Order: sequence, then C-alpha cells, then structure tokens
Amino acid sequence: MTIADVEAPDPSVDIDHHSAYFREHNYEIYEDLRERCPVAHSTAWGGFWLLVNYQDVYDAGQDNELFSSAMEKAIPMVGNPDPFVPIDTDPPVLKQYRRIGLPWFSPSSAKALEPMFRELATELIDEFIEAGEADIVGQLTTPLPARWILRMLGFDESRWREWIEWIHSAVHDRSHDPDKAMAGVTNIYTNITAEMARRRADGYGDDLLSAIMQGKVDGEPLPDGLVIGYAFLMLLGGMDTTSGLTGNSLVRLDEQPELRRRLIEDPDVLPKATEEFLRHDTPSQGLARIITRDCEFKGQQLREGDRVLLMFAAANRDPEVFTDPDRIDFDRVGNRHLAFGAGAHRCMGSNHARVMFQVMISEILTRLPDYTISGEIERFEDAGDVYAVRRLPIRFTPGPRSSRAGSAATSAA
Amino acid sequence: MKIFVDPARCRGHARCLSIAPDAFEFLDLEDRSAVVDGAADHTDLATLRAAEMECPERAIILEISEDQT
Repeated sequence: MTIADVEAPDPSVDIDHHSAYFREHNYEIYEDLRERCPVAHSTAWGGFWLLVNYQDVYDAGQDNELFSSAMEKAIPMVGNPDPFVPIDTDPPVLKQYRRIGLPWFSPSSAKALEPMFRELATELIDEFIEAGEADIVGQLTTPLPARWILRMLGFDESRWREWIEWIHSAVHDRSHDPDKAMAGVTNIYTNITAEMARRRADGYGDDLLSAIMQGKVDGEPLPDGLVIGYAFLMLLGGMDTTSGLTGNSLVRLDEQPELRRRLIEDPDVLPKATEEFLRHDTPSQGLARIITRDCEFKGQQLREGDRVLLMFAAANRDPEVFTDPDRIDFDRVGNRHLAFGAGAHRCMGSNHARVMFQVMISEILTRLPDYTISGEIERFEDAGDVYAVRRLPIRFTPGPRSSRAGSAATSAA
Repeated sequence: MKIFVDPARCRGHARCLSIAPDAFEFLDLEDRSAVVDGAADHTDLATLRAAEMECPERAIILEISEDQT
C-alpha cells in the first residue's frame, strides 16, 4: 500500500450536477466536497470526476495532454455528430481554429462595439421604462447578447426569440428532456446550414459565419460539419452566459443594497465589480475534459477515458485562494478567478461579455436605479452547465423613454 | 524595475489591459498581451503590481530592484 492509498479519501459521491438539488445547493456541495474529497467521483451519468479546488482546476486546465478536450466528453453526451470547434480540440490545432474567430473577439473589437451595445440597451429599456415593471432578463439581458451574436454571424437578428428558444433548449433541456433538446439542436443545424447555402449562392459578407466558412486549418477549409459546430458554439457562448452573469448579479444587487449604492456612487468601480461578480456568480459552472492515460492525480487513480468536470464556479470560492470567498467584495485584491476558464481554452467571448455586462448594469443603474425584484426568481431548471436566471420580474419608478433612442441600434453593426 | 509578459503563459485574458491600459498592448492574432515599450518607466508600481496580481495565468513578471520595494 502506498502513501497515496492511505491518504486519499473515498472519492465516491452521487452528485448529479443537472439535478434540482444541485441547482439549489451547488455552493454547499462544493464546500462539502472541498472538505471531504476535493477530487471526487460521482456515480451519476455513467461516472465522472469532479474537481473543486482552485489549484486542481487550474492545473487540469493547463495540462491539455492529460486532460484532453477531444469530443465525446460532455456529461451526459451531447450526441452532436461533429465536434464543436475550437472547444472540442486540443493544442496545437486548437490555436488554428481559434485564430479564425480571434479578430472578432479581441479586446479592441469589444471596446469598439460599446456604443452599439449602449444603443441596443437604450432601445430595449425604452420598451419598458414607462411601465415601471419588466422581466429584466427576458426583456434586456437575454435579447442584447443574442441580437449581437446573431448580427455578428450575419443572421437575421429579428428572429432572436426563436434562436434563444432553441439554444436554451439545447443547453438546459439536454439532461431531463433529450427529445426537446434534440429538436432545438436540429433547428439550429438546419438554420445554420441555410445561412451557409445563402452565402454560397450570394457570396460571402463581412460576418463571422463567412469568416468561419473561409477559414483554413492546415491549409484546408473546414468541412461543413465543423463550420456548423463553430457557429453553434458561438451561439451557445453568446446567448446564454452573459445573460446568466447579468441576471445573477442583478439578484445580488437587490439582496445587498450597499453594493448597489457603491456602484451608483462610484461608477469607476464597475470593472472590479465585474470581476467580482464573475468570481462569485460564475455562470459556466464547469466544463468537462477526458483523461488520456491512467494516472494518479492529487491522490486519486484516474483511468484513460474517464471524464472530469473542472468546476470553475467551485474554484472561484476556494478559501485557500480567496479570503472570505462567499462575500462579494469589489475591493478584492488578486482576483484571479477562473470564470472564463484558464489555459488554452480561455473563453473567446470574454472581452465582449465584460463590455455587455458593464453596459447593461450601468444603464440599469442610471435609468431604473431603484428596481426591486417583485416576484419569483425563476432559474433554469438545469444549472449544471450554465447557472442562470430565466425570468426576473422587477418594479421600479417609471421613467421617460430616451431621446437617444432611434433606429441606429439596428443598423450600426 | 522591469516587467515582462511570459508569452508561453499568457492566454489572452486581457485583465492587464483593463487595469493598466498604458502599460500593456494586445496582439490580436497571437491572442496575448505584451508590455508596451517603456511601460516600467511611465506606469506607477501600484498599477503594475495590480495587473500582475490579477493575472489568472500568472504570466506577468515584475522585477523590482531593492530600492523600490
């Protein structure tokens, strides 16, 4: 018997990250695992490992050779016929796939879009500002990122409601209603395919889908299946997570008025507040990797083919790294959170997510600073992939429509 | 004082650009940050240190001579 055998705790747990219990108790579960067994093995979904300590999640994210992102690793499996590139690939080819989209996601391109995001936010808030009540998630935080990503892909953004329904179904229904999720996936595939055909018939435009279709890896264009996977991934990333972060944060600002007051009195703290909300209310709870060879990791024996969930949200509450981790502290120093992951797969949309979040929060705190949550906070049933609010009813003192509002937001792409 | 961004560690989180926009620049197609020439001379130490401490990849290296600590 080796020392590792003696020291390693029994890793067996029955945690189902797609369950209602997980949604309501995720941070308690992380804390319990951290104390009891930070490298745990769940019997759910055919078995998978969970990493909850910051250092473990960080180390796994850096080691793409052992913790691979090759496809067929989602828990449960997604069943998509083609990998979602770039996320389902490993270095070195990963870099070639990312490079196709990088010009669209750079910090400078995010900054350049800020006026457009603000116009869009203004237009959306105008639609409910006089009423004194709204579903702020359904009417602002959902449509804004959704319309942007559709516009960037060169799709018809007026159809954002349909796209949102399909994407939400693909993400949030996949564990408990696979047929419904598959119907969403089919709609997404069909419509991306139609957009590709349109470009082949009419010529490429200045849009992200055209860039993906013209992109090359190892000197060759991407097969259609990978183009679809790439576009699908952009829709997944764009439509769900930024709204999740914003909705989660609006709940916190309602619960903790001193945070709201601080943001109103000191708007310059918003960038630091953004990082703190990303840490404390991480939308993407975790992502999976697949083990490429038998090995020992932090005292546990992992086998080739084992699936491992890197729980970014748990890492972000690790008291070894973050003092008083359950407290939201805009003045936190050394906030190296992993909300966008770490390593070669760092979220490509992180720059845009930050700008959109900041625009939405600042517009809300300027135009409806006294909002209060006026009904039930409805979360997506399944928080295993994205922890997010589906519906957030609020009331506020009605205000005037903005003189800034106009048709510019729909034309200034 | 000297400051570097380790190109092998940087993964393009761009936190340093937000904290010290005059000291760092972003190489879009490389997906990583780099130090602007002369940044160590025209950016105050506290700002550079904040950038270093917020980098999720620990890619920023600050070398501070003894008389500056």
